[in-house]
Amino acid sequence: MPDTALTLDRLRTAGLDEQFTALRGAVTNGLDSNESNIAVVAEPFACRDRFLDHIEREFPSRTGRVSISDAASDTLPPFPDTEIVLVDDCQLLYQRDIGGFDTLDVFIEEMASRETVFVTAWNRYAWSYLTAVTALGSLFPDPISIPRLKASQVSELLQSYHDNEQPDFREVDDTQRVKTLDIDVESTTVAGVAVPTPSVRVNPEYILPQSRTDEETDIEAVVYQTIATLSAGAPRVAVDLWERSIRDGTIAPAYVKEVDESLDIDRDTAFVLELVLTNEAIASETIAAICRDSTPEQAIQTLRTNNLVTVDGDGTVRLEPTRLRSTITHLQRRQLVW
Amino acid sequence: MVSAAGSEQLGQFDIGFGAILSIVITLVVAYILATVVDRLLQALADRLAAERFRVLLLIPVLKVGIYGLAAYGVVSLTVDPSAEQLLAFSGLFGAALGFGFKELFTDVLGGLSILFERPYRMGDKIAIGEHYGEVVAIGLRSTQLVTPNDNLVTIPNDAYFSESIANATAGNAEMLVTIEFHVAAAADPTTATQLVEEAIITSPYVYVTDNHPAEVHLADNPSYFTLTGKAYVNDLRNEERFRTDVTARAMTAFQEHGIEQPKRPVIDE
Repeated sequence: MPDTALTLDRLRTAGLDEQFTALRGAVTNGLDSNESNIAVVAEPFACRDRFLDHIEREFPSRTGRVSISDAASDTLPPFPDTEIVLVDDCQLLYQRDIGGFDTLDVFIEEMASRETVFVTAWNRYAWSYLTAVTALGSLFPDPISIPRLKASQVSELLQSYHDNEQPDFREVDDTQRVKTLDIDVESTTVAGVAVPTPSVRVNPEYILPQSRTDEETDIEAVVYQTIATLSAGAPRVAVDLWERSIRDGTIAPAYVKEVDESLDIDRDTAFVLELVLTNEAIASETIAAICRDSTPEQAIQTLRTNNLVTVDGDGTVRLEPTRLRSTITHLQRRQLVW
Repeated sequence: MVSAAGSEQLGQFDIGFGAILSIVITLVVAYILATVVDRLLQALADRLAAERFRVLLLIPVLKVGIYGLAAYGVVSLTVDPSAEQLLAFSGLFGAALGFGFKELFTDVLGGLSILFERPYRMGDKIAIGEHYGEVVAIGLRSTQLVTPNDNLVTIPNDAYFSESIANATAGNAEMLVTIEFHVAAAADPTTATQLVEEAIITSPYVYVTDNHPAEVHLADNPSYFTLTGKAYVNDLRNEERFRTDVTARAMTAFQEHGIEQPKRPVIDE
């Protein structure tokens, strides 16, 4: 499923119509008052760019667009001389280091000096950090927050592609059995000795379908609930998980869950992962510049081994979409993101 | 060994080889069970990072419960006292406390108070008297702290009644940390303040929210400025790493921006 298939209309159908409408209303108000700047805040892979596309389509002759492409850059791209300026990937306006907020400061001055409506798109975790450590929140008093898709919305989104060619939904062992508990054996270290201990995981998404009568629908609901959970409600991740999980025209909850591995990384590696999550894509050199005293190369290698990131040929480290939920959960537990 | 006649006079009191063996087995099982519970919950807590305090809190409660049950079992196996015997025993116990076990009894009372009133919990960073460190064990008789120098300090629980206790975390993973810098009076205070602030808010260990702000205060002295940075570390176990990271990066930034240290030694007021 190509990324371009995640159209505005499909995202509206999936339940984001309220946010699209709110954004359009905010831009209209901004044009009338010539004052307001707008922040669109969303998880990684949550189609922030589609919201900017929406404004571009609604106000074609009045809109110009720029994208911030490099976190380490000291200079801003030239802004178009239009009534509305769309700025994507604003999380790249800062670098988490001393002196790393200079570009953001210049951007804020640029916004203040122009009678233009700036519509800016931000990574949710970078936004939370920046509003806590800078006065950014006061410049965007009413940010438009894109919510995570619920299971029913994920279902709407994914079904819109497969009107006539739905895959077969089934349990992996062909028994059509709905499980409420998964029991795994994990290793716990006691007095330096690894002791195998049973780990029971409750699958609440299995409990709801059990109350229904149609078995086929049960498994289908479980699949969508599992995708919604593991994708953290991000449309692009949901689509990615969906495509990876279809095998020979069949999809099963167990196939979807294969990407959900627990993380066991150390403190320094977790911080590098935090940098990747908040930037979404960051150059290895930038990571090295921020982590002066540690060894980011090892951390990046560990993250690659755990399928948490990918590294492009030019050294750009990117977050692996299917590990988004694991990443967020782990970093929130460590209070590295909030 | 108590004779049969003696046993009748003492009611249920009867200690034979079987009873002794049962007592030993009860105590050993209690010890093993308490140790296993302790280790398993510690291991689980380590995996939960910021949420580990909820698990650590259970450890002393469960250990007291296990040893309490074992004590009950031992008493049942040996004495099983009647009301009169219990009264007599209480009198003797009170007298014994008065003469020899007062401190021990006070420690145990302190331990019970700590468990129920919870002035601190496992994992908290506290100061009791002249000792400061992370609480790693709360027992009935004593509390153990690990100091920043990695010394294990055992403090009798009667300190709960006699000493002031300062708790820096109160059951939370995050903790407020204060870091001081001194710069020469000729330095630009605005630049120095900004550098310290940025060193703090960009640290890998910082935790900043609306309820956990990061701040820098500037104070003027005759020959230098004092900059006091206040911010929360995301996990109290990272306190010293946070201090070191912020200090090292701030000092490097001072050098890069030509901000000098005071030439005269700074005297604590």
